[in-house]
Parts: sequence; structure tokens; C-alpha cells
Amino acid sequence: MSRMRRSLRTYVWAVIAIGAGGLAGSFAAAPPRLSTRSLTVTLLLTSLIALAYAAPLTVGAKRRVIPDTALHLLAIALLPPPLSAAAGAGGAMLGNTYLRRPAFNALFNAAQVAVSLRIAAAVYRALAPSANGDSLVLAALLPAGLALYLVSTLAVDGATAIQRGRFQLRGWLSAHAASLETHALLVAIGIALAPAVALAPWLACVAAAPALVLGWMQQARLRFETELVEIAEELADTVEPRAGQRPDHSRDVAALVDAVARRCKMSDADSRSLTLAVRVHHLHNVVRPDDLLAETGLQRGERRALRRDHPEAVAAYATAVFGLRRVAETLRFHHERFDGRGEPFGLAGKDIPLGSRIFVACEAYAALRAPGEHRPALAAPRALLIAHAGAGTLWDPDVIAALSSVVQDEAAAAGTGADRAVAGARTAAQGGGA
Amino acid sequence: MTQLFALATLAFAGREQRPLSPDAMTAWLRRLCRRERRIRRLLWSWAMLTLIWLMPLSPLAASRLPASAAIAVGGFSLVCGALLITLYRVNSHPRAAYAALRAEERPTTR
Repeated sequence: MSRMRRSLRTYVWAVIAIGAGGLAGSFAAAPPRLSTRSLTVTLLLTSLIALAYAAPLTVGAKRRVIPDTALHLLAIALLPPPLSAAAGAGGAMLGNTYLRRPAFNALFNAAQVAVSLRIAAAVYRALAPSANGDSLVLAALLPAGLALYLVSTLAVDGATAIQRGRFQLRGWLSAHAASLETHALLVAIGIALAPAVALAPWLACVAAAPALVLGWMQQARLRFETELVEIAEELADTVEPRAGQRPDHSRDVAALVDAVARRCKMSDADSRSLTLAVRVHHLHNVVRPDDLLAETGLQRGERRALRRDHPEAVAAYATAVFGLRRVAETLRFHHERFDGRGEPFGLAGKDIPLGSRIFVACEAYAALRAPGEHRPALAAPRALLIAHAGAGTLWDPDVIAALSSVVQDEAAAAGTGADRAVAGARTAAQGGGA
Repeated sequence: MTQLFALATLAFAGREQRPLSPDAMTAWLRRLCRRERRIRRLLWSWAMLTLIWLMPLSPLAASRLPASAAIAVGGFSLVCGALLITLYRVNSHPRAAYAALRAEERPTTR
């Protein structure tokens, strides 16, 4: 383990040495002609690259992208090679320092940026020897962008390979498919923006502004959504007693649902959205008058209609008021039955979303475990027997199996001997089913 | 910023609004989300328009204008972006606004 750590450290120091040595060497070998324009562009691009680290964009499934590739391309196109490498490395160093990354990591990052920019600039100059900051050869920027990607990816992959002790060349392309797409898009944007920035270097600020502003917007949006969810949960807590639920009912069901969702191998994001659905599934009652909530003075048909419309009503409320679309999707189907005799859509089997199937089974189990109007709370083994009896008709058998194992684990963790009773109930139910 | 926004909400909230009914609360939340969505769309539109203007796609593109005009238009775009992101950040504090609304609900001795 320590040998692996030592080789990783050696590798990182080697990259840092190559980056720093290459940068110093290129300044010594071909000192760039320093003009006000080249210095302005260098300083601007360094600052903008550093800012790009402060506002990474979130794309796809919560993948964070630092949009510095487009700025690197601009640096290659507009600056002499040593200055472009210096701008990239300086920006990376400042950005990493802003993010409070360890100095070792910041140095490695800056060095690999310097190396990749140096090689990409060499590719660009080799393909377009006449190019300088004023006359651009846009077609030559494309291979330069490819070189930039390959060198920086290989430098990072080298470190990962040493850490893991193996380098997987076979799965390399599939592993990088998503990042390659984003990189290609950023390269295209960089190439398209180069003529405007060549015209007036200050336009680099305008070119970088959309990515920076969208990054800040995404950060603010994340906070907005988090705070909105907190408000929704607070409102749900206040409305639960009014809807005839005992306090903390939805919290208990949410905890159970979370455990079962993990047992069913749901992703973290799906599991979070599902538990939120459980927490807020009476939220629309906040706008209902008390007598309607208590269902007093209602005819049987009216009461039935109210219950039938409940999933749609709460889904519509969650979407319209809180913008919780994924949560609404779960809520819309949480009164469906596995055999297709549920409401309001009559979906059957796997047509019902997994989240809704877990929700309905766990809520029923929690209801059995809580004292009812005319009965005491059922013990876990008895409640599980009933749950198994309804598997395949009311509830998804796979979900019930997951629920059983969760309950059994909980009982075993409690160490009261109830786990044996639960296991017995599970076996009895399975035996009965067979 | 959060506290400032909460104070601003308190200062501008109508005294006759209390106590806040669930319907009013729902309407407020709906309005908040709608406003956030609108500003977000505006921000995306602004970002796309700025990028398209910077690309050499039309006769009015930045690279085809005189440098001074390009800088003027670019500056205007930056100001617009700054205004929009400020507006978005001010409107993305539902917790503070909600706390201010709840504070308004409490009976006063006035």
C-alpha cells in the first residue's frame, strides 16, 4: 500500500517537474514578444480560467464540468505557446487555491494543464505555421483540442491507474464517453468564439460570462430547491395531524421506504425523491377545509371520489406549487394495486413505477404496525404475514421480499429475539405461498 | 443577503395580510416558483443569445462589427447578465422569505 502511495507521489512529482520544466524551457527557448495585447489576453484568460473553477457547470446526471477547455482553446489560438501554457497553469493554480484543494493536488493540476496546453499549442503551430494572435486557422484548432483532451486525460488516468494498480485500456473510451462529448462541445464553443476574442480581447469576458453565470445560477438553484423542500416538509408536518395522521407518521414510513428502496437497489437520487414523496404525500391537504379533511357530512360516493382523486390532487399540488416533478410521478401512482385493480389509472405489475410500488407496500405495513381505530397495533411477524398474503395482488412480491428482509434485519439489530419470529413469519408466508 | 431579503420582505409585506391563510401561502409559493422559473429561463436565453452573438454566424456577430461596437454590445450583454444573476440570487431564498411570512403571521401587540 505504501509502495503504491510512493509510486503515485513519484508520478505526481514527475508530472509537476515536466510541467514546470517545460514551461520554463519554452520561455527560454523562444521568448514570446510581450505586447500590451498579449499581456492583456494572458491576464484575462488566467482570471477567467480561475473563475471557471469557482462556478462549475452541472450537466446531465449531476456531473460537474469546469468549462475551462473553451478558454484553453482561446489561449492556444490567441497567445504564443509559452504564454498560453502560463495562462492555463496560472488559472488552474488560482482556481484550485480558491477551492482550497491541497497544494500538491493544485500543483499537479496546474502542471498537467501546462503540459497539455504546451503539446496542443505545438500541434496547432505545426498545422498552421502562419497563425498568430491576429490571423487564426480555425480548422487547426480542432486537432489541438483533441490533443488537449488526450494529454490531460492520460495524465489524470495515469495517476488513477497507479492508485488502482491497473490501467484499463479496453474500457477507456466507454469510461470517457460522457466527458468526451462535453469536451467536444467546449472545443467547438472555443473555436467559434476565437474570432470575436481575436477582434477585441475584452470580449473574452463576454465569452466566459454565460458559463460563469449559468454555473452561479445552478449553485443558487440547488439552494433554492433545498430550501423549498424544507418548507414543503415543514408544511407537511403541520398538515399531518389535520389529515388524521399521527405525528411523525410520514417520517417513520419514509425511513422504512428508504431502507427498502436501498434493498431494491434504487439510486441515491431516486431514493431521496421517493422518501420526499412519502413525507409530502398529504401536502395538498394544506388548502383543504377541516370538515373536508375529516370527511364529515360527506356521502359515501363523495368520500370515495375524494380518495380516488387524492393521488392526482397531491401530484398536481407538488408540481404546481413546489415544482417537484419526480416526486409527483411517484405520488400519482401510489394508490395503484399490483393486480391492476387500484386507482386512479388501474396500472398493473411493473407498469407501476418502482417508487410507487415501494411506497404503497411500506405505507400499508406501517399502517398495520400502528394502532387502528378498532384494533391494537400488530406485531411485526403478524404484519409481515398479512403483507405476504397480499403480495402479488395488492403489492409487488419483490418489494414485499425486500421489506421482509429489512424488517428482519431491524429486528436482529434490536436483538430482542423478534428476528426469529419475523423469520418464522417470512418462512411461513413463503411456505403458504408455495 | 438572506437576512436582508427577509427584512425587505417584512418591510414591504402588507399589514392586512396576516394571518396568512393556507391559500395565500400556496399562492405565494406558486408565485415564488414561477418567478424563479422565469428568471432561470431568461438567464438561459441570455446565455444562448450571448454565445450566438459571439459566434461568426450572422452579419451582426461580434467578429463582424467594428471593435468599438462589439465592445459596447458585449458590455451591455455583461450588464444584462449581471442584473439577471443578481435578480435570480435575490429570488432564490425561499426559506428567508417563508420565515418572514411566518413572522408576519404572529399576532402583534399593536
